[in-house]
Amino acid sequence: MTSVYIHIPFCERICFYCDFPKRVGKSDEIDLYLNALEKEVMMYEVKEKIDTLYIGGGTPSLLNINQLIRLKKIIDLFKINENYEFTIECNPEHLTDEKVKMFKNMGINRVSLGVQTFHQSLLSLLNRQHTKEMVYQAVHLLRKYGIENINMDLMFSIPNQKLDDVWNDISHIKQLDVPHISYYSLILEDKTVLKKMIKDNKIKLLDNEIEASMYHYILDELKALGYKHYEISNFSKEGFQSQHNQVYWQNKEYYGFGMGASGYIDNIRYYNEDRVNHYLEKLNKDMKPIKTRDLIKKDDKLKEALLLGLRLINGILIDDINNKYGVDIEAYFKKEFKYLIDKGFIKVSDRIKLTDTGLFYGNEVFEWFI
Amino acid sequence: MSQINYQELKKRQQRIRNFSIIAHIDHGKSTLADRILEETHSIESREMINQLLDSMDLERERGITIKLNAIELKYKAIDGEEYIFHLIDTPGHVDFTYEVSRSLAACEGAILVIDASQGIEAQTLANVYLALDNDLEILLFLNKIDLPSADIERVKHEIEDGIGLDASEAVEGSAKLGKGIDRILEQIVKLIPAPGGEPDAPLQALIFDSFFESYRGVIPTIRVVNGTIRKGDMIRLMSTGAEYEVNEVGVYTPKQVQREYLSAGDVGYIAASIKSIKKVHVGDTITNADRPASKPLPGYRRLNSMVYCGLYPVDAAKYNDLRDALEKLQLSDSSLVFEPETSQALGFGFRTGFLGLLHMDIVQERLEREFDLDLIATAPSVIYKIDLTDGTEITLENPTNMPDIQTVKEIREPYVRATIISPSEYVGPIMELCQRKRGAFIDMKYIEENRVNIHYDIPLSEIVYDFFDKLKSNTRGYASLDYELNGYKASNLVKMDILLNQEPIDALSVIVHRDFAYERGRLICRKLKEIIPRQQFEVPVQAAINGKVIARTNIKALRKNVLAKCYGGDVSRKKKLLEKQKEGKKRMKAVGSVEVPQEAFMAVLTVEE
Repeated sequence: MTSVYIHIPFCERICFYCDFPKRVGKSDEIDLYLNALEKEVMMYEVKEKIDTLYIGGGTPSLLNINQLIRLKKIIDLFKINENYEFTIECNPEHLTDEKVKMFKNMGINRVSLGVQTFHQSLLSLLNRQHTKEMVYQAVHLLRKYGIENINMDLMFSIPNQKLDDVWNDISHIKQLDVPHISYYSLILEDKTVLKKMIKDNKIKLLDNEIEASMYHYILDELKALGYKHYEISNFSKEGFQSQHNQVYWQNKEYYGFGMGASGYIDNIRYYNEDRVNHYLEKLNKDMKPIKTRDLIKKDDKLKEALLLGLRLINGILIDDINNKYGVDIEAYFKKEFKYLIDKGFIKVSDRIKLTDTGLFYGNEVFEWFI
Repeated sequence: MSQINYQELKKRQQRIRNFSIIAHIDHGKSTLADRILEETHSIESREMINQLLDSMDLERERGITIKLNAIELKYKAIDGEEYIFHLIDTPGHVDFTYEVSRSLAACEGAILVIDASQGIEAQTLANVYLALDNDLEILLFLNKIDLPSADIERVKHEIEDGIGLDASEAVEGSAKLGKGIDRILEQIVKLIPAPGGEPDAPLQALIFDSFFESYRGVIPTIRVVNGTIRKGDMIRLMSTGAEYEVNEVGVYTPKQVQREYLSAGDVGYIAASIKSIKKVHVGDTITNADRPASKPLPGYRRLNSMVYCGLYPVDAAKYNDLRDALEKLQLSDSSLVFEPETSQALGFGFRTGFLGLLHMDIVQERLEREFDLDLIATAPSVIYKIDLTDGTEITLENPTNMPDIQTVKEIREPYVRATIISPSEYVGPIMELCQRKRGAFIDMKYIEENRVNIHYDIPLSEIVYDFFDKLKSNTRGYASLDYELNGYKASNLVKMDILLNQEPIDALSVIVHRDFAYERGRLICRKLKEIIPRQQFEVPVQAAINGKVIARTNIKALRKNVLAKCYGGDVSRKKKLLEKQKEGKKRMKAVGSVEVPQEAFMAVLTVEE
């Protein structure tokens, strides 16, 4: 299985909660970037046929048609396997007939929509510019061109959000009936507008108790709507789990391209330059735009396997991990497992997985594996 | 060994001048000392100090000693004679008043530095009184006269009215610009008397400082008052009776320079393979074991701790490391005392006594920095004296050990006599503050038209708590404070217990005045709620007196703690976040069922914002 991530770091405006590598880009800068990206992809000479491709951002959907044509040229450098999954992240307001047709033309078969909420004033608070009508139009448009594999990113625990608002958002989910939902709780990251607003006492984070009750509610409601909860923040209808994200959670290797992207190849996790000029400069000098490389040794691999694998509701099959890494994982993490079992956070049978309680206290579990 | 010519020594004594520089903090003491070093041809030594200071740790390891506090300088005066100056530095903090007084006792004179724009401060006064106690000649140096805000006339007026010193001879200068240095040097020669004492009398040498060297042991800094001390002499420390053979005598220039002898009037060091600092007390007298003096020099007293706190390793396995570290520190700091104590909440640790709050901070910081220990310090407590109904008296260094209230007849607490100097416009707020802090008014004098000197007797525990901060904020930083211990008085005190999740936490117990118990209890509960992170269950926080709850709040439960996203590319970033969480927990102590961070144990010092 081979996977590729491509980062398009440009946005028209900055969402207040976002700490991903991004910048408000001008069109000519995007052109330069795509040239560099092409160079980077060519330097890697990926021989294998790829199974999953994910274009994330930033906001990839702000590329205009010409830029998408450039992007297609880059993607065409890869050999593609049958039954591949090819996802692009989109803002609802960016979708037009022309663009969706272009997506089809590029081979894109899955679209992840940044919805966050259907509540207008909360959208404004996050500095998002679409309306709920635009989400409906976007889903409609995708379906019109045969893209059924749609994810909606939603967010809860937004400042000022009420449980009723979550209820309302879920009723829209029911209405739209897309096969995949990522439902993230808002995480206050450093160096974000939101962080500053909180520091300046302009808004307040929701109480942890309310956040927890929202999460409870979401788990129950999405289950009732026929979604299977398969990762801490991810839900899907049968057969629609994200193939690309599984690669991450199963601690498999993948290529990452673009400014600020990271990859994991030949036991090395690498992190690309996260500033546009550094990224462009290195490629200008015919160097890979890598900022740091970490060799992942066996102990780290085991820890990462747990750190990531325990995010999956089904957890990790013990035989799988023992075979893959040549260990007895239960012996290796004896002390950790005992503590976490006693706390009621994990269960160990033929699998290791979070308990229902553990699901709410994942970080208390994960910290044992860093 | 060469025969000593006592006649020559007596003549040489006439050319010795021993003096200190005393000043309120920031009034320019070290700048003046610097200039004096420069002017007395000691530029080489001054450069050397800088060089040595730069590489101090290294030098210390190699056994090269730098001691800045008793430097021998040569000064060629206008009269054509060459004089021997001993510049004796003094610690500038109220915690170390006794050390200051002993340093001054080694001098015949002192230069009082006063900032010409600030005027007299509480510390200035305290220092002057110490100097007068030791019968020193006081020279005045009005510093920073170049500043636009300098008001020489006002300050002179303050000196004359406030301290009663004649300010007509005061040198007006600027240490920074090198102005007035020549005049003060000449005054040292002319006004400060040469030391007295007989070189051939039985030895009496005052220990006014000491420090520890790994290879040579304790090195006392001494002022010889009578007699002469040489290599090979058997000496006796008069308070402990311990005897040693002197294997080196010398002076600081500031580098250690060996001499054949130190004689009456001289200031220098001796080395005598003294292994334990516990034997060497500041203020003690050294005499010759074969020809002892009939009595020690006056003024010696054993230093007592003023405040105590509990020190515990965060990691219980580091208990022995902490003990080793305390023992090592004690080698160079005889005023540090400690003994093992056990806390239900914190496990095994040490009750540690300090001269004051600054001393406590210094020790804690050294333990953490130099010995790489993670510590939990409980809030400092003063020493209470308790009379029991059965007629016995006990001293209480740890609030948690307060005896059953039924058996207590009376609790007494230490008081200080506080000297506060402030612009007169703040008299109202200062008096209000002192009253609120249970102070008893003693007197108030105008030093000058707009400046007052106020005396209050205040419980030391209030000083430990927040008095100084409050004083500063109530006077916009203009008031200065000095204090000295002034006996014990009975007070209406009670022990307040703090309960987390219904369990009393011994390390959080605090002794408070009954009238303020309710307010303090509320504050502490509120602060603990802020500091203690949410647990997976709700934690009630309560303050109680004799089992009766007087304040309470709840730390709400943590219901959810899980990263929403953890994509592949995020691994390193998310790991950092989890590492931070983990790191934070390392600094927490599981107290019963509750994870409590270090700061919480200082929460009892919480004050109203």
